[in-house]
Amino acid sequence: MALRVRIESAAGAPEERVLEQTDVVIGRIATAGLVLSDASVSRQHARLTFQNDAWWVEALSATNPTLLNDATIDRPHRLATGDVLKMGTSAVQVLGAQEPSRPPSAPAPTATDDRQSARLDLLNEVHRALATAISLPGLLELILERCFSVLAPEEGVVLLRTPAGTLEPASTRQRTGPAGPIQVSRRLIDEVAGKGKPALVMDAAIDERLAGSESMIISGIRSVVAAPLIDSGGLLGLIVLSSRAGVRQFTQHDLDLLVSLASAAALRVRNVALAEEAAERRVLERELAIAHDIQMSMLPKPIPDQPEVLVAATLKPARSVGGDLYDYWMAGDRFWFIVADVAGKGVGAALYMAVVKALFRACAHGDVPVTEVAARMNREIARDNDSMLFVTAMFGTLMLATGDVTIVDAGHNPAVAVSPGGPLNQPAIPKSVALGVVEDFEFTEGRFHLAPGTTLVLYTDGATDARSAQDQIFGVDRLMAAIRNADPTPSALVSSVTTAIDAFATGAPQEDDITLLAIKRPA
Amino acid sequence: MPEVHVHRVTATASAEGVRHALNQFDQFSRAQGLSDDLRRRFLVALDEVLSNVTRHGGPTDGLVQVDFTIAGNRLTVTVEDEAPPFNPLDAPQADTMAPLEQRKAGGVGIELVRKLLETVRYEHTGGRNRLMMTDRLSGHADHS
Amino acid sequence: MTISEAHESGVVVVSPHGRIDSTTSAILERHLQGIAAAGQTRVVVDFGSVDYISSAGLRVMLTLAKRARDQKGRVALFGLNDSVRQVFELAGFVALFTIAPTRAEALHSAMA
Repeated sequence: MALRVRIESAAGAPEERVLEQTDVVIGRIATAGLVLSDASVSRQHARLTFQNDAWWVEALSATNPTLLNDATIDRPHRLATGDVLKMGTSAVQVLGAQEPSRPPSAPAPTATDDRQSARLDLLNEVHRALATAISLPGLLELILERCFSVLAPEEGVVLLRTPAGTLEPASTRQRTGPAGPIQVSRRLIDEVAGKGKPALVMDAAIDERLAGSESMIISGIRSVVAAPLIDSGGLLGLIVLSSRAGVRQFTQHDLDLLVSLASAAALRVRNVALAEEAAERRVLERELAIAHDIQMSMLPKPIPDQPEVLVAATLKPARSVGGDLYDYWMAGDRFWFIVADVAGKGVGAALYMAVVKALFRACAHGDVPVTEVAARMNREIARDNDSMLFVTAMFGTLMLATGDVTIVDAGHNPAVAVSPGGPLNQPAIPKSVALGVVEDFEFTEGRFHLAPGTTLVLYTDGATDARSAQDQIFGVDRLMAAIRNADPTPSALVSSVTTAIDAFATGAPQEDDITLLAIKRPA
Repeated sequence: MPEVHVHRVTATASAEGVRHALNQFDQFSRAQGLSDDLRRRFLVALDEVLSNVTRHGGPTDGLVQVDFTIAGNRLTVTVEDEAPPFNPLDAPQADTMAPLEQRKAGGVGIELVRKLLETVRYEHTGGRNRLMMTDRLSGHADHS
Repeated sequence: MTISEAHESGVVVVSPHGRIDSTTSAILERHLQGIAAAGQTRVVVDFGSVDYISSAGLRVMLTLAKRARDQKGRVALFGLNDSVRQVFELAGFVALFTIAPTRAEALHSAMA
């Protein structure tokens, strides 16, 4: 039974109210069921309760009397229509009892069985309703809609766990007005999330769980019910529903319903979040696959065997895309070539490698001296070089008629020349600094002769640093052995060396991009 | 059972935090009798990693956790923080939107970390960045 | 990190003590800037008391090398321990500097 009253307070005009609670404190305190902003009224002055089918009044203040029809009361009195209560200079008149506009709490169940089956029905219904949601925001809105329909709070918020581990509001709903930011006690959140247990807070003023939580008391929050969204995978978030003073008071039964709702919701939230994650991953994988194709297509096509030079190469990135590069082309009387390695791997290195390749092609043309190409590339790369970018490279020209090689070693792995049945030898090439480190470095070139039948092999440290499943590294010796033992054509050489590295590294993840370039001067 | 020693240092992602972590490692490695060579290689790598985390990782009041673990014949230094995904070896990652003329791939420091230590692994799990650097206490592999 | 300095035959010999890394490299940088501001272009860096050098320290050395080139000065290093030497090699910096086996040879190189 709700109580209709007229309030006359020194503070303002007379006002009619319907008290829907069955237990209403009248006083100056902000959390009172009926607040009288009157300095002469005590913080908790009197209390109205609905018991035994009637409304009763009792005085709460020992020093500040409550008058019922002008007589001080010292024990609970039944109230009748027309009774006037005086507290300080305020007055409350009883206008009558009436049917509550809606149940102050969910209908009291008649039996435990009924309650159980009602919960199951709710679960099924919620499941069905939530199953229609396909996006996370849509799902959260649906969850709140269900909460409002079943539990009638004034405000509701779903908090979700962020990747950083904090709990942040992800969706809000208000009974009236547009959804906006909602005050939620951090302490309550921490308690519910920390313990993974639901919480029911009856009266913010005296619940010690919220003691010191100024935010909720000031906004007059009175009744709060919160349940974690939790499944076997862990805590996903929380649902928090609240109502202000005098409007709605949650009970244990309400909490049980919310817990049921939350368990159905948790499953859906998990599924939808996983589906979204999987979709994002697929998009990323597709993009990387496209990037890989683009990078591979940037590599020069195998050139048909020429009378003066045979070429073969391979590039195996550690990830979809990488920081290694090889390039070559015929330019009249000479053959230009490069093998390079950007420090680092992945997308950043690959993007940068595209720049280096373009630079090489732009600088290395006609009869530009190799040291000049080095200087130009280096100047471009080294501009604004805070991070001391590190691109090692071995590049130069092979004169087709004479077999003379001019080469610059910018901090790269040593080149090796092999003749069939003959020894391996490392041409003496002066070492320069890697590209990009010192803007105006003076590169020095090495010159040697590639005899007919000899193959020049360039590689990156992915080849020597390849790791086996037992954590041993392939090393320079094994690489030289593989080169020496290979068949004398460049494609056979590249193929058998790659096979040797792959066999050695079976079972271990590839840590670095592997590149090989073999250039042979036919016999 | 191989012996396991673990020492944890928590520092802020700031210049002061880096100094603290490096000092702690220096003391730890001396106390454990590690060779000068191993100690120095790890210090160079740790300086690089922590500097990158400080410069490009999360907020400067964020905490970084550095663990030194000796298990059997291996020393592992693990650097962990709770910033958004960031691999110190990819630094400076944040600048991938900048024009390509600017240096956005690996620098000398990253090359040093990779070359000085036997194993360097990065992962992002449970909202945390984790970088693990491992090498052998004795008889370490060729680091050419 | 403390830095001691000596003058010999028109060459400044700079001796940092301790580590040259992100926590100390600014100290070395300021010191070297001071030497340059005083018009001294012949510099020898004594690494005998340097425990290790990281990329932050290499950056300072790089600036020194560039300044020497710009001002037609001379730079020589000596006393590198194995760790410092390895770092210079991995970074490809051995091509940038004259690394002498002894103090005498470093001085000789800087006076050239």
